[in-house]
Amino acid sequence: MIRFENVGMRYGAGPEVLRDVTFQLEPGSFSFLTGPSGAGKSSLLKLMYLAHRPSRGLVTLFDRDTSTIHRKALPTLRRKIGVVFQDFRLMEHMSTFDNVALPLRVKGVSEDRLKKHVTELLAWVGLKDQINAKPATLSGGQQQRVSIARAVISRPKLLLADEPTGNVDDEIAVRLLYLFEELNRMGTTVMIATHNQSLIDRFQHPVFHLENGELTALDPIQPPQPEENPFFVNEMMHGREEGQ
Amino acid sequence: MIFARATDIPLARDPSTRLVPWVIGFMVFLAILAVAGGVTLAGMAAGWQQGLTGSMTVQVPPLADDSDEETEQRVRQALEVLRRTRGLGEVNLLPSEDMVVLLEPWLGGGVDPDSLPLPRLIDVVIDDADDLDMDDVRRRLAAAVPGAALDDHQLWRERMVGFLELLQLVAWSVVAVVAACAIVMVVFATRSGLAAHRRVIETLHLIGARDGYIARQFQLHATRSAFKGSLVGALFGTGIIFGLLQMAHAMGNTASSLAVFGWQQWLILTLVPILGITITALTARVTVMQALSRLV
Ligand SMILES: Nc1ncnc2c1ncn2[C@@H]1O[C@H](COP(=O)(O)OP(=O)(O)OP(=O)(O)O)[C@@H](O)[C@H]1O
Ligand SMILES: [Mg+2]
Repeated sequence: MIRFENVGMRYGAGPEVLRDVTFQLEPGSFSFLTGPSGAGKSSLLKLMYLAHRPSRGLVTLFDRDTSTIHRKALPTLRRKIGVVFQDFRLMEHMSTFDNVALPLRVKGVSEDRLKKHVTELLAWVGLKDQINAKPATLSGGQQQRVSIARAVISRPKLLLADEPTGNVDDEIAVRLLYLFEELNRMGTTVMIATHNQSLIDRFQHPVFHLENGELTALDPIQPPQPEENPFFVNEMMHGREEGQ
Repeated sequence: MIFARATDIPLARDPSTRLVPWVIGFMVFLAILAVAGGVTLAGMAAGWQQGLTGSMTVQVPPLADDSDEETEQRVRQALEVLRRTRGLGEVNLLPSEDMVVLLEPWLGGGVDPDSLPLPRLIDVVIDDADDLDMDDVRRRLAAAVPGAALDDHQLWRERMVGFLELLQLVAWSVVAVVAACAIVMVVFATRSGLAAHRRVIETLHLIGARDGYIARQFQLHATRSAFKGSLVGALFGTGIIFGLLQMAHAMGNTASSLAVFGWQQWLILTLVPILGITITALTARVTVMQALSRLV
């Protein structure tokens, strides 16, 4: 799914913020990315969602060398990737609904088809009552959930979440993680950058640890044991599947 | 639906793009005036070229040993020939008294017209130049009235046509300059829109939007702005042209310049705002596509 080989990255002419990063994500895997602030987590994710190019090394995505991808082919690839941005990147002038619907509209999904999906997903992330609200009127945690909903609405093959639970309480954080796990169970490869150690402990997934731009340790935790989650994620996600 | 989707980028709120309808309106207004000038001049030039406009003069000089009656006879014959010619309208003999008035600056007042061998002048209004066969008139006139001369103001006409063509060139240049200004202005407004919404555009890209999707938003917005502006500009422009035509009619200037402003000319004027909108939309699109292709 994803392979990094001796990847280095820098912003402009600045110093390398990632050095000799080598790792691999198997299709269908679920992993955490941790490390102190400024270690380069967001930068690593940027390479994966094709917002940045490496200054050296090889990044392979969906079995394609990203350095050879033509500009015109980028949209197709990016549509397979759902991203929860650390700073949300919501469209300030759009309602919650329109923000979440955007990836589908960009793909050309018809309005009546997307309406059902978006409403259902918003109900799931607990934003039913904020459906017409603009981001500026939402709390930090609500905005975060909008951005998560937008990232998963088109059922990406790869989900990259940058600190997706930074602004919500533990209960919602766990609930959101179940959403990610459900997506993962349906085949999405997931990587979550987070500082939240209790989440990492609770959800047993491999952990990549970044320190000062270098990947220091690969947590030797085994792949997850399938455990029924107590929420109705299944119902919701499968319901959407039938709808398509 | 298409219009609902146009809000992916909040262009309508930009102070810089809010000026666009006004500028386009003004440009369309100017272009309409210039185009109206251009087509009027073109029509006039064509008219002059065919001798469509105005008149000809026929001179019937008294022959050396002619009596007055014989001259009158020759004049009557000339009038006869002219009146029987297709394509000619009114045919008028200039009274001798008028001739004297015309000649006063040269000969002084109180001249007896009969004491001078003045040619008699016949003023002929050309009614329909297409029906008129100048060579045929000349031949028949020469046969019926030897010595009669037909002056269709050829030299004067050629100079006039040359002058009108020059004026036309000026009018079309104004149109070209106005169009160029509009394009430059739309390019700048679009670029400032791109800069103002960099982040939104970047996010759209990351979500998987193609350049065409983003360009369409700008294009739609530009089309709407241009539509509003063009409508107002065109209304004012055509209003002024209409007013000018009415004024010219009121001044009795119907035959020459105004005959050339028919439905074809109005049709050309309506093309101006349509072209304005098209140019604006295309310019916006090309500008966006070009700018985006330079991004990652
Ligand atoms: N746009 C940028 N331009 C220049 N330098 C940047 C930019 N973004 C990040 N950096 C630098 O790159 C390094 C890694 O930043 P990054 O955002 O990847 O860290 P992070 O691990 O995500 O931190 P945090 O946990 O605080 O989000 C930092 O030293 C930062 O200053
Ligand atoms: Mg970060």
